[in-house]
Amino acid sequence: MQELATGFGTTLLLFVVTLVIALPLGLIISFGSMSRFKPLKYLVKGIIWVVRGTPLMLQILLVSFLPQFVFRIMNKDITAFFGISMSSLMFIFVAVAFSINYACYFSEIFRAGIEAVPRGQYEAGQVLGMRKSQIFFSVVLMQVVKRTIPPMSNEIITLVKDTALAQVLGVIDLLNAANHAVNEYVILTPLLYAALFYLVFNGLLTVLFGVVEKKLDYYKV
Amino acid sequence: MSFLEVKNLHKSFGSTQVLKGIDFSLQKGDVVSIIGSSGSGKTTLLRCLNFLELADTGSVFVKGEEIFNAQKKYADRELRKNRLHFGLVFQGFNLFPQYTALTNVRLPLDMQTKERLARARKAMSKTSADSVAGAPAKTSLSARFKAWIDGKKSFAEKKKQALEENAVKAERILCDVGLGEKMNNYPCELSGGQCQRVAIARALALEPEILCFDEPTSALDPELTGEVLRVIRSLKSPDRAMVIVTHEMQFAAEISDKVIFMADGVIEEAGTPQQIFRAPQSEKLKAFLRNYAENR
Repeated sequence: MQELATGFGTTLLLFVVTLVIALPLGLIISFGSMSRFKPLKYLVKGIIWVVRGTPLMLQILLVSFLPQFVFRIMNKDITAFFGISMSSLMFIFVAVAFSINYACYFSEIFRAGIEAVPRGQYEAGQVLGMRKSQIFFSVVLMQVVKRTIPPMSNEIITLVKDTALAQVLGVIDLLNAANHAVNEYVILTPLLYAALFYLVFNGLLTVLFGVVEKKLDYYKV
Repeated sequence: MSFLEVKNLHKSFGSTQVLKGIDFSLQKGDVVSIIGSSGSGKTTLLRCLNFLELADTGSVFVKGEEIFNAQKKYADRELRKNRLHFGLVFQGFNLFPQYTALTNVRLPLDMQTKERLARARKAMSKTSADSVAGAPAKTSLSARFKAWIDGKKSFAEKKKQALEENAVKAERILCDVGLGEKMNNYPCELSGGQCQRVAIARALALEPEILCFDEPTSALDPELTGEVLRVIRSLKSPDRAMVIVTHEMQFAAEISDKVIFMADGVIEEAGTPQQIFRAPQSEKLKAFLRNYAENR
């Protein structure tokens, strides 16, 4: 049970880190994919295509090999330089891969949300003398948030379960911990406990999204 | 000198020429209605005046000052500033759905207030920095810190006061358009006519010299057009000019000092409401008015 709790902590940390990085990064990527500067637009679209078109597990492995194969830096040198443990480094690799991967998915959701805001909203802002940034942050953003909550909740719930992929680099997440326990004590219950953890966690998220959606019910877009 | 003067405006979208040389002028206090069948370029003309579209050729003067010339390149900031000579009320209201009626009216005012104060503060901190540099070098750090805090405080106070003034102004204008009761309602809780009145209040709050209306009643149920037209009528004032694109001929005849009939991207005929509606000259205008009379 102790191991399961620790594993869940790791899962939770990965979840939070990914969200904190991928949400703003996704917004930035969505701007890139809508850019009027064609080279940037197609570059970003290409990146989104590759990231969404290949398995996340492959991307995690790729990120973990990048320092050695491309930059010729050994992992043990990195850990020594920053004074972190090997397992922390592996966690960082996983978090980087997750953040990039999810940012690309989020960016498409943001793009849909932004493009759904009627032109008239921008024009109203313009004739009222607003700057582009003022229009985006004061007029458009809240409408985007409202529109994107249902698809976002989908993606975020998937993220909870995807964290289990962290074990390809030996990170002891919830599922990995449960698996160890199953092998060690030859009982099935750890897996069931793990399932319960995921379920409850996602249940809480579902409730939370419901509450937010309700909170934003006061206006229609 | 004319209050507003438009010279030789041309605008094309791709290969379609929408405006083929528009010239007109109006005086302070004038109300000008623009009529014409759909596709004649009325809306495009208004959008060019508000720089939502940039005309391909031509120029716009307000009180003799050139605020737009198609030959010149304008920075976004300049356009933003020059645009404020004009206000625009849209056919589809375009209220911001996440804000109450009051906030819709206040928001642009508050933004301008904040920008103005931020600029003033920058200028002041620069002069104070200069004076510090000129003063004996040993102004103590704590004294400087205190001055900085004081400056911050006084600006926070000024800002609070200015924002309160904005709120009062917004409330007054909303009362003027008859929405004193609905100030704290969201657009989705208001009828179309009420929404359009909020939109008018929002445009008025910035005190534009020339207020433009783009078919302000076309998106409304017939029984709601009355309240909006009443408000527009009440806005006629010697201090501002109004340009109204409309399909309400009765209304145009009664409120306008001048009526412009557009057809195929040019001003086909212009004159007083009497001349346009009682004694039309061109065949196109005659056909348009006949068609209108038959279809209502």
